Amino acid sequence: MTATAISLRGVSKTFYKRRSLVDVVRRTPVSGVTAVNGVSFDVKPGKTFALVGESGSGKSTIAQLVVGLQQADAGDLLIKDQSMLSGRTVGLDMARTIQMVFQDPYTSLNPRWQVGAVISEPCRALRLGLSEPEIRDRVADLLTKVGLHPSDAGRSAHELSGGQRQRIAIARMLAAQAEIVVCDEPTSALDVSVQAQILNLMRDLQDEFGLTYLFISHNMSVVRFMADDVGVMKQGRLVEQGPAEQVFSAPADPYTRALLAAVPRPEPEAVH
Amino acid sequence: MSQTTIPSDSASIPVDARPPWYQGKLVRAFLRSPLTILAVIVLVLYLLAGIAPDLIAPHKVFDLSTLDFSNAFLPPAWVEGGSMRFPLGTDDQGRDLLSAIIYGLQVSLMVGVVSVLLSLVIGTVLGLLAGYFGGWLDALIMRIADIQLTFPAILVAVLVDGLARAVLGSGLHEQLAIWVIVAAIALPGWVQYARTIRGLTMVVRGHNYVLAARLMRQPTSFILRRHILPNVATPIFVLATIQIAVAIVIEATLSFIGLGVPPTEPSLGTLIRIGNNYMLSGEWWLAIFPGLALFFLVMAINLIGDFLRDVLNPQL
Repeated sequence: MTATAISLRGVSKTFYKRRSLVDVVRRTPVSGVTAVNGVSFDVKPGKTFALVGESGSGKSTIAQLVVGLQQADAGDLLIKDQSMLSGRTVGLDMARTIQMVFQDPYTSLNPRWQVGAVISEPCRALRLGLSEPEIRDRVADLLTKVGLHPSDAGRSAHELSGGQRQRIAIARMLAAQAEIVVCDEPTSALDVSVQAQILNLMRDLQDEFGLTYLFISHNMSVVRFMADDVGVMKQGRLVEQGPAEQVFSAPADPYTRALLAAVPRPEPEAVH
Repeated sequence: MSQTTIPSDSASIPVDARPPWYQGKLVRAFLRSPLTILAVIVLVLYLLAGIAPDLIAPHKVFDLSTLDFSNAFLPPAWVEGGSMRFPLGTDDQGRDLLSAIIYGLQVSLMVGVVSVLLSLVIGTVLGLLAGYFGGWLDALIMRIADIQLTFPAILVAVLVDGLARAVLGSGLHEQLAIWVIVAAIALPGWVQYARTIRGLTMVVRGHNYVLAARLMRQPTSFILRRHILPNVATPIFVLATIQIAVAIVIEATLSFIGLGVPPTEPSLGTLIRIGNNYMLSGEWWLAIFPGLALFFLVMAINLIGDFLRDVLNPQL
């Protein structure tokens, strides 16, 4: 086992406005937004690292950089001690190692596909070397693992609720046999009661398969429940990081304190 | 595992990404629209006549041995001097007009359907590529589309037809006339499909199932065919329905001005043009009936197209 599952070293990413012909002719200065600015952190294998911060703080950009949907401008990004920026080893091997669970369950599954096709897609695409009967067994097995029934394989994605869809997105991630999973706000679009079920499921699966999670969220309660380590982001910078207990009990940065103070607390006294 | 059952409350979240025809909505709306039912009946009759004119037409109008000049210029059956043998009258060579219209439909429908299919395929492929890849490819395809849009479809069709005449020579052109017309009508048609597909593709390419497929390193051709195309195709059916009517009218117009199919394989447009020569000499039926046949065909297709648009796109 490697020392770190994911390691970021001074990673930066700036998005530039697309320049039209008029901009070129008028020599408008190039304007860009630095979404991620010199961020460094390590994610330990088998642990959960949570990134918190408000909208626009660069959390989701980091998620996209880590899985390779975006390329960083500067710094180094290592997945299992292998650099993603210099060697460009973004092949099937890396895809088998790292997968993603998305925020919006309503667009995470192709509405025209049956559930079985969705879950088995990684088996075929990543050439995991399974025969068709093995793939069918695996789909049934994974459906059971995420709390659904094997007969749900024949249903269409559009018949399912948000929570069920997210379970299927998780089953698809498991089908890829990934070790590292980037979760971009996987429960923020769900009902509170369903949120708890999905989070419990994700923790159970982490214990069973030894998964490493990079968990992106703006919900401090969810982060407290899931995270081993926490990084707090503000305007593209990591303002604080450390073990979850430490960040929650003794926040060092004023921004972290403000975030924690903003968490709504149940106040039984207020109800008469 | 702390939770293994799906609670009933999660099933109550309203989710319906299904296209409307899966919901039985299409059938219900259809049954509530008498005009559309009528249009479909009319269209089915036209299609039957177009597919099997030999079975339906009372006379074999292209068999010269059946023609009799003594039957020339007979008026419709209900006019004095008309005969029940020729319900809509006859032309200058004693040809039954009803039969000529039924045979002419075959050409009109064929040109309409094939040219729309052709431009639909071209437009869909270019629209998918432009929308998915963006950048210079998108700019190139869409600028060509903009240029194309500045030329009226009929003008492009005339140009293509003229070019084909010059290249092929009159003998070969005569044989290939129908296919030249199909190409001439299909060429300007792709733009609308490409623009529609491009816009929808730009939305769908950001959907998570597309990102997930990219993370699995699915080949781009697979993503375009299996993930994007099925989710952007619905509005194209509506567009194609209406475009068939447009194509039929363009073909009739080209034939009317003498650029379309040769008189040996008359389409509705050819019949109207020939009939037009006799309008002022009293044989009004030769232009009016092919014109009415064209009118009802285009009307039926447009009504069905409007109905589909209303049902499938509730935001319109």
